[in-house]
Amino acid sequence: MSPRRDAALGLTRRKFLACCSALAAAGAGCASLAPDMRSAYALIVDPPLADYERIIRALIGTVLPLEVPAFPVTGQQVEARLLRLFRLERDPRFLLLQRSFVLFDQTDLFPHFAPLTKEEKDEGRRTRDEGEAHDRDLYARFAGHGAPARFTALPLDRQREYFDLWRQSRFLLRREFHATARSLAMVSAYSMPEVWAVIGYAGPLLPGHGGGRS
Amino acid sequence: MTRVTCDVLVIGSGAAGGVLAATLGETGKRVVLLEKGGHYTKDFFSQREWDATVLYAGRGARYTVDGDIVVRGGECVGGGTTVNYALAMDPVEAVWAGWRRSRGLTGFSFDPSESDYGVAGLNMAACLSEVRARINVHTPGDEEVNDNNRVLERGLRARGLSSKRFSLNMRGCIGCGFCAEGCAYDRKQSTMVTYVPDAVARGVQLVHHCEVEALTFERRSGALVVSGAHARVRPTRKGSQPNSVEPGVLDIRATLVLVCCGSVESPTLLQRSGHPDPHDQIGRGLILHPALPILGVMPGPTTNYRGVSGTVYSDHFYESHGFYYECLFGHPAFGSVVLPGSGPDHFELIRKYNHMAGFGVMLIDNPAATNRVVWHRPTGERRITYHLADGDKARLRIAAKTGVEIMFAAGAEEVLLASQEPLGSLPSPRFRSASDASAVEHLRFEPYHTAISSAHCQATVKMGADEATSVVNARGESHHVRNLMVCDSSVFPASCGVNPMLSVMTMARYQGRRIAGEWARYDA
Repeated sequence: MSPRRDAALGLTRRKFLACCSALAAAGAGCASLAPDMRSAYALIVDPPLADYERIIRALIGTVLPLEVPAFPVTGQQVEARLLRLFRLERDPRFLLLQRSFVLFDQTDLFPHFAPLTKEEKDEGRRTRDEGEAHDRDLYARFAGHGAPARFTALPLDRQREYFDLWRQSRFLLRREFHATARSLAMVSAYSMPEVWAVIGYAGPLLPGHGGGRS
Repeated sequence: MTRVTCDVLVIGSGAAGGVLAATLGETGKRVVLLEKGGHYTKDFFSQREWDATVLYAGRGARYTVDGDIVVRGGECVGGGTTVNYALAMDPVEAVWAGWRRSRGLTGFSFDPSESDYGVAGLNMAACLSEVRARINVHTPGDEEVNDNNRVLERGLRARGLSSKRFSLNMRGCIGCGFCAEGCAYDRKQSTMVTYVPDAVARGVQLVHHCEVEALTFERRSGALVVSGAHARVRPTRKGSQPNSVEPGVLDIRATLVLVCCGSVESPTLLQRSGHPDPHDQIGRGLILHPALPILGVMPGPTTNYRGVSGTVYSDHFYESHGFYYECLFGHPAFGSVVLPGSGPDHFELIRKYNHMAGFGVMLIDNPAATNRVVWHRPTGERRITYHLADGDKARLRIAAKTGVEIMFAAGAEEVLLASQEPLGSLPSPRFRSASDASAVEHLRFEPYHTAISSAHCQATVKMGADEATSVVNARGESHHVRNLMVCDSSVFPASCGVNPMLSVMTMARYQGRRIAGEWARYDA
């Protein structure tokens, strides 16, 4: 998000939150805070790129086969392209996504925090309970291996396992996050000519347009 | 602020608005044509998927509220005709005849000897013929059918199912495969290269980058009458053609206003303008023609993204089950998202890209009042609420299962649905043999799991004689606001039964000629 200036305080909104919020001072990942408080923090904070860039970087490595020698680009190259294509810091539509990155990173919040869509709320208690039980069970199987608190601290295979929980969730917003994060990484990587060569895609026919504008 | 006065204001420059502007331009009337998107021409089209997102509403990421279906629509001069695959299917006469009976519609004769509304030679057959000639609708020859289309043709034949060749609105297509990114060679005969230039040559003023905030209404002799529109012109984006007015507020006064913004924008424009809706009809009954891709990994290299994208389809199940198979293929930036999985598994699959074939199921969905487009005033968003009905899901499963069998019959080694759902004992919809296809019965079409898309929104400002169940009459005139017409796919009472471009263009030509013949009706 672009910082919005609060004229009365002479502060950007981001700085204002940083000044007044003890939670912000404590940091989103502080495991000593109760899960509900950390979830609440993640819902109100407007995280700067520096806070979620490392999460994006880890997600790129989770979605894409960076460890496969034949994959022709690095995570840094994909990240640079992602940040150029998707103006995460400038486009207000991405604010919720930024917050979701912060929530996603704290793996132990998965069973505690399940925002519901209006329709899910309307579905009735029994359906919600079943969904929550399903997701808790997913998480229990994952955490049975002894999960640390941060996605970014997990080894790659465990990161993929955790990311896949979000795909398997019964709740729409979790699946939406999975689909969005996956799409950001894939669209960024598979729009790169270096990757086209490996998959047998010849790209544009137009002379002089190989580089495109993007 | 810029003020403009005209006889006719046309809002939207796509399949309907482009044709109407050109047709009314023939009459010598002062016509202004507004377009929300930019005016991008062949010099802009780079054959890059990402660059082309600027041509789409929501940059190609316009979804239903629950994220279930991506709803594509052109948002540039030419609208959907600039970014579609040039599939030009004739209007289905039986569908229009059914609407005449069930909705009490007048006009829309398909008999070429008819003169509807007393306007000499006015009928759908004549208008279709004129449109087909202007945009060069023709059937492609064998040499234009690429490997991907032959896969569908072969599979259909092997299963004893009928196949057909699309009619296409192209002229000398070179087969680059980038129809959906805007034709860089002006070979696709969109309204951007046909009717809109015709209109401009006849003196029609084109204003692009122009969002209509609201229609303006006034009372005359007790009746509500449209008087024009209040709009805002954005600065011209890099790469677009120059505009005819400066950025800023644009106020237009017009005798007749034609809303031609498509089935998402037209109802929401009426809603935010405060158009009367005593029967709560505006935006209801949305039709999407949900589409589901079916992909096959073939034993050898398969020309898929290069060549004319769509030349083969099947209407074998149209009468019995209400769906089509239509051949198309995508490029890898967005195509990669459609393939299931992540990491090395996904990479292993996409490395077979040039061995893949693909076609889609296009479902003729049934209208449901709860499927609706709404202008959400607090956020200024268009909200598209749509849920597949159980019956539609059942037909999609039949279509997907049969599609998997068709792909195997064509020689595929593996077949995939664009889905991440587990199907019974299968962890994902990846089929190794035709005998696995029955697992499709487990497909639930869960949002964010199964990639359903739509490019054919229809039926949100329905026409009909009964004000309780429609918004406009057969002339496209509002039941409640004089001199306000809607003319685009939104006025269809239900699905038009085919890819809608040519049905919309024919109707627009028809209404344009009718307006010219009945001008006194509006100029009184």
